[in-house]
Amino acid sequence: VTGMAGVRRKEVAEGVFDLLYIEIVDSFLKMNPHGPMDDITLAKLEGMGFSTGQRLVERYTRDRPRFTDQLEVVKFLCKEFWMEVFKKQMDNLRTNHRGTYHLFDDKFRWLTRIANKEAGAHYLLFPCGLIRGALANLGFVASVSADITTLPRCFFTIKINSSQGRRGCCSCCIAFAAAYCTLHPCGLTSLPHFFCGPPRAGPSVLRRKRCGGSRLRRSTRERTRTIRE
Amino acid sequence: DFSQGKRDMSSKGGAYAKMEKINAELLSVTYGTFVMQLLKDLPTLESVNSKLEEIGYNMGLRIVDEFFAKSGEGGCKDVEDTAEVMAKRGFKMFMGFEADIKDWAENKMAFTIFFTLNPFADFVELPEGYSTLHYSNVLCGIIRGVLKALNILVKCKFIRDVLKGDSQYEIRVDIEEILQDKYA
Repeated sequence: VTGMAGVRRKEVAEGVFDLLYIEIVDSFLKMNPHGPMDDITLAKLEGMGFSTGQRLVERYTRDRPRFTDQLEVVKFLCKEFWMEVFKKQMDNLRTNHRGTYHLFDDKFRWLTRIANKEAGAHYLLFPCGLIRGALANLGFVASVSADITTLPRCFFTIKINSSQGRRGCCSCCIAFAAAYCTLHPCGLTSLPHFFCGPPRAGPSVLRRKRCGGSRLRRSTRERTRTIRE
Repeated sequence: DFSQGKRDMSSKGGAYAKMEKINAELLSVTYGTFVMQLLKDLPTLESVNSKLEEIGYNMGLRIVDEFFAKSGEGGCKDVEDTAEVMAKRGFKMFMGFEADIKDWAENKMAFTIFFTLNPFADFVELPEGYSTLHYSNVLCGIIRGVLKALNILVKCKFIRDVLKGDSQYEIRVDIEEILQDKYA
């Protein structure tokens, strides 16, 4: 496949990656066979996506001039980055021009073999991390969550809060982070940011209603309810 | 159809070319982050090796179906044939390159599969202290799973590893049992 700037990328058959990815998610799911994934396991899977996103975006932006603004970065993710990773671009991008973006993929590759929405949620953790990691390496701290509309269509919600600076989000997340996550060498916490976010109405499989942190037990129960909706 | 004589290994219409393909770097980096996570979570290098093998085994069991569906291959007449098809056609179809077979045991119950490319291990350098880690052990699992799906029970082990300084990858495959179909 010819990537950006005509660079030829090495390829493998799609089936190899798909099977590996399913096995990876399954092995995390099996850690808690009787219930939904616990927060730590979720964080690990999302964290893997984060590392992957960081590394891939580094390779894909090596010969590029620096981005000048936030929207340009998000558009890059939607077009070039998504093309490199998924061989297609995002199908739609919406923004409120105040740091929130919705990225729509009408046929998300890793959902095409999934039969039900609830299972699908777990396959979106890694791509959320992928986006978050890519943004982090391009200088933006963001929270990324995902929702499935109808399989295999989904959308990712990016929230870049420019007033937060480069360190974490809210204080209860930092407490949670201190307990379970490690500080990334670049100074950003590797806390999955979907743990916090404003409460929102509407069906969503991955949205958190409250922060983790010291209210972890309650938020786990809430999240259990959310996932079962 | 069990035809006589040596199998014609020439690429039949480029089965690999017809496969839906993805960026190999995605595979390499994702696999790498998974190995790193396992190294954090699991207590010993040996347990990481086992986990990677187990992942590969599950992959191998399922990849066989896709292989037969897309390759147009019929049955293999014996173990030697199976090994050759797996190395030449199977590897070629999924990984994009051929592997090769050598060092058959006298009784045909063991062989070595070898190859020089390995997208799972791209961009990887093993640091000091990881000599007992089989980074690409997923491949041993895939081979074991593929052969299990074809009723051949094996144990696989890396005997040469480019990440450890060797010139190519070599996996020794020991055949423990060949199961007979009950409804042959």
